[in-house]
Amino acid sequence: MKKIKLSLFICFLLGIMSPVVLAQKYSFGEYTGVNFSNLHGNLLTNKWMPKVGPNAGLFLEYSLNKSFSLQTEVAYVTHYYEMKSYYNQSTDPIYYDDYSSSSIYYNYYSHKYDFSFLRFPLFIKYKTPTRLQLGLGGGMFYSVLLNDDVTKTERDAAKKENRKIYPPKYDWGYIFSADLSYPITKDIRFFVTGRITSGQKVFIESVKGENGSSELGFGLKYTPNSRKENINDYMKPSDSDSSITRCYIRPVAGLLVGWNSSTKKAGNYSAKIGSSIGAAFEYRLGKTVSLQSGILFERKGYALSDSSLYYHRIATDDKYPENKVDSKVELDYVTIPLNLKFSIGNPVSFYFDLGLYSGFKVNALCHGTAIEKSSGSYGYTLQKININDAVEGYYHAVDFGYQTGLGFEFPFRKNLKFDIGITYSESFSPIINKTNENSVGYSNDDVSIKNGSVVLQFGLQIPISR
Amino acid sequence: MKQISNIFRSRKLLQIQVFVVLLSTIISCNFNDPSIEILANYNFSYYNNNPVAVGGEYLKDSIYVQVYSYTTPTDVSGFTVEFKIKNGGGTVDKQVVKTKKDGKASTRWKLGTDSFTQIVTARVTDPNGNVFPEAQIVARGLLYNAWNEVNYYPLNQLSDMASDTITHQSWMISASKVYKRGDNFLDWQQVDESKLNGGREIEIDKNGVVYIGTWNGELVKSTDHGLNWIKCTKPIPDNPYFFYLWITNDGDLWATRYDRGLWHSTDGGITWSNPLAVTGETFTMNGAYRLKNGWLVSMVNFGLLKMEIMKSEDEGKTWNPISTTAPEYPYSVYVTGKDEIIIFTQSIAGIFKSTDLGKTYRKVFEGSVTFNTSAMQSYVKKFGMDYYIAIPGHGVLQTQDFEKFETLFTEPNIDGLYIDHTGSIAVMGWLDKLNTSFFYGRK
Repeated sequence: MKKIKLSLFICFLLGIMSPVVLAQKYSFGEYTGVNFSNLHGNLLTNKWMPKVGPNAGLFLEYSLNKSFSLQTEVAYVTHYYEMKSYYNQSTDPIYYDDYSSSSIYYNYYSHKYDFSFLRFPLFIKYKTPTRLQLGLGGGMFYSVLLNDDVTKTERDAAKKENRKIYPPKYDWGYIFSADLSYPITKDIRFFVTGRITSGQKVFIESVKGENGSSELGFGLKYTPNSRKENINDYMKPSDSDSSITRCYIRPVAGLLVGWNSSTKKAGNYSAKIGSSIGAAFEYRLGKTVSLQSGILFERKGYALSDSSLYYHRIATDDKYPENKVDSKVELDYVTIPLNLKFSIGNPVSFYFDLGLYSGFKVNALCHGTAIEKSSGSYGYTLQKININDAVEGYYHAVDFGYQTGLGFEFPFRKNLKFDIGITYSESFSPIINKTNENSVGYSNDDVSIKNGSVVLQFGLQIPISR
Repeated sequence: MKQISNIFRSRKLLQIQVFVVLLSTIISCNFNDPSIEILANYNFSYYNNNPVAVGGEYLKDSIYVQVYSYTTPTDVSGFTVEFKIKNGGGTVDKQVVKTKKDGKASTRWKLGTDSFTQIVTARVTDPNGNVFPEAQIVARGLLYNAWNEVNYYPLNQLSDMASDTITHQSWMISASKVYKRGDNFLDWQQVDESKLNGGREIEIDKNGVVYIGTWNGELVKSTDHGLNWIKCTKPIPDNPYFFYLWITNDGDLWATRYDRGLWHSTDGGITWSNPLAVTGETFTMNGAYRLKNGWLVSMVNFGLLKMEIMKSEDEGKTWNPISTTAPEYPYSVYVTGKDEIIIFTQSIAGIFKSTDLGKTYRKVFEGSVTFNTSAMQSYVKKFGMDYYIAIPGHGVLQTQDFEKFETLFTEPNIDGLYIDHTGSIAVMGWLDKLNTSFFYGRK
């Protein structure tokens, strides 16, 4: 059945790419790039390296109208992972009776997982009617594993025994893209694209690991028989009359300060620097009120400097010796906000916004140092742990919260606006996943951690429709 | 094609490609590997090379703490060790000692006389002021004319002992190994002789010949105080398992094993007869005493679920209760040199004495008894004029006539008593004192 679906899909691609149907509405091209793998799952410790791998593909785009299009492609993509663990000999200090056998050594345990896929995505894209065109898209993909080491016999046996076998033969998931393109000839645009993918099937059983990636690529898009583009096709100075423009897109970037905003926090948490980058969309409801959403990649988190049994949060128990921890937790989210924005003033305006957000966890990393001391009647060991753990198994997949902000907008090149503002956000509820199998059951365990952040944000408001 | 060529010549495109490559490199390199660095690693060892001395005297060698370092720099001097007496009442010459360059901090230890097991604690403090939990250094202080509670191998697993005051030898079995007594009552040396592997029973006859029965049914003897060992004829033919061995005061050997009846040797184990063969029944005896009239007296279980004091007037062929009035539920019997029959019972808790060959009995001691009657233990031993009796649940009694008793040791958790050739008493621990032996030392 899956094979039939795959064949139909390929036929569809070939069909729509035939010269007969080639027209101004169709564009096609190629892209190449690199892929930074990003495993998702019940990761609690050890470093999962975001290894670089190649990807390349051929795509076909069908313009639904001036702003929206459908895109599909055939792409070769890779997901290369490498896990490096601590060989933690210090858990039970080893003492020797004489110097002759006193050598202490560590071995890394390293394991590599390399997957290559043929990927077939289908997503809808929005593109700005500008010469330097911003495109944003989202959709789903289906991919087939190319380097399948599991034999057919093994898969048949597993199927007969109703047992899962890893890795599976195919994957599916979600794909989001953002690209910038620029016309270099009448028919050809050069573009740079960034993509985030999230697979939904478990490929690494031990950590319930699902594929994920961040991709960066560049390529060429060819639109046959396209009209010669000139600056008049895009925003004209007259378009800048903001009184009649209803939709705006706003690429934003900012510096984020994140912290644990829980009022119950049990230990010495502090703030850390992060970042926020993405695009906001604004729809003007009235002269002063607008609805605002978007998609942002945010690195939140907090810092911890205290004695604890965990490296990423405070936990104590009389039964266990604590470690002196100095760590930072990086929590990466794809955030989708929904705000009401109020603006006053012209041409320089002041704005205030208020709303909600959903943050979809992408990564959770803990790094820093811990000093572990093991002592007893028969010896003493002091060791420094250089922490680099993937810890996303400890955190909820989604963070809901509220946000509010204020700032100023300044006219820029007449039809654009540059803005600077600050945004404060806070989780509604704790982000620690306390009810899973990862809970050790320490007597004092701080599961109250919430995300808090302030972003100093810069943006450029571009009108996109009337 | 021309257009495409133009594109690749484009400076902008080149810049973007460089940017992508740089970004890839930065992202992939910006992660340190998880690692562990040992900042310090010390080991503290506590030494007591000669842990046994007479109570009140110095141990032969100093006790010391040795500090080792497994990280550089390896300087192990300047650690402070504080020695403190915890148990036994002794003294140490120096209470606070700094480690020297070799990492050693030592002191002399004069044992006390308060207990057999003596303990000194040693607490290490490193040069940075980190104080570590104390450790214990243990010594044994031999106490003469006092009870020594011994909880270390092999003495704590003593299972049988035989001694001869004429030839001045004592032998012990612990955990199936055979030991001979050395210089003092706690000094026992294992006998390295393959024939004695799996020793279980040990007896010495009136001539000082040592007999050892093994777990695999063999009997081995030595006529020269253990210099040479001779394998005897198997007491019970075709028996690959252990047997019970008794030697009567006339030098005869008696062997039993549940379903194999009674076996008798009058020539030191060279030949064996089978005066009592059993079929479908069991026969075991605990103790064997030859009376002056020729009777053989023992505590016997003959096809019953309980032990009885019985006699045989025909060299073990037939057995009958010694009297219908004998106290029931005995756990041991002893016959004195005057043919006085002493019965130890648990149901009416006491010691009964008969001076008329078992016809009548008189209770001479009353006291509660808690024990396990299945244990084929020795409860009575004589040394000099005195008899020493282990009463499980009570302690050790001393008497010369089974009329007047003195409590030598009050300890309910005992079961079984032996005496070596110097008169030192060994009592086996039981219940709460399992794996413990009590030794009353005599010089």
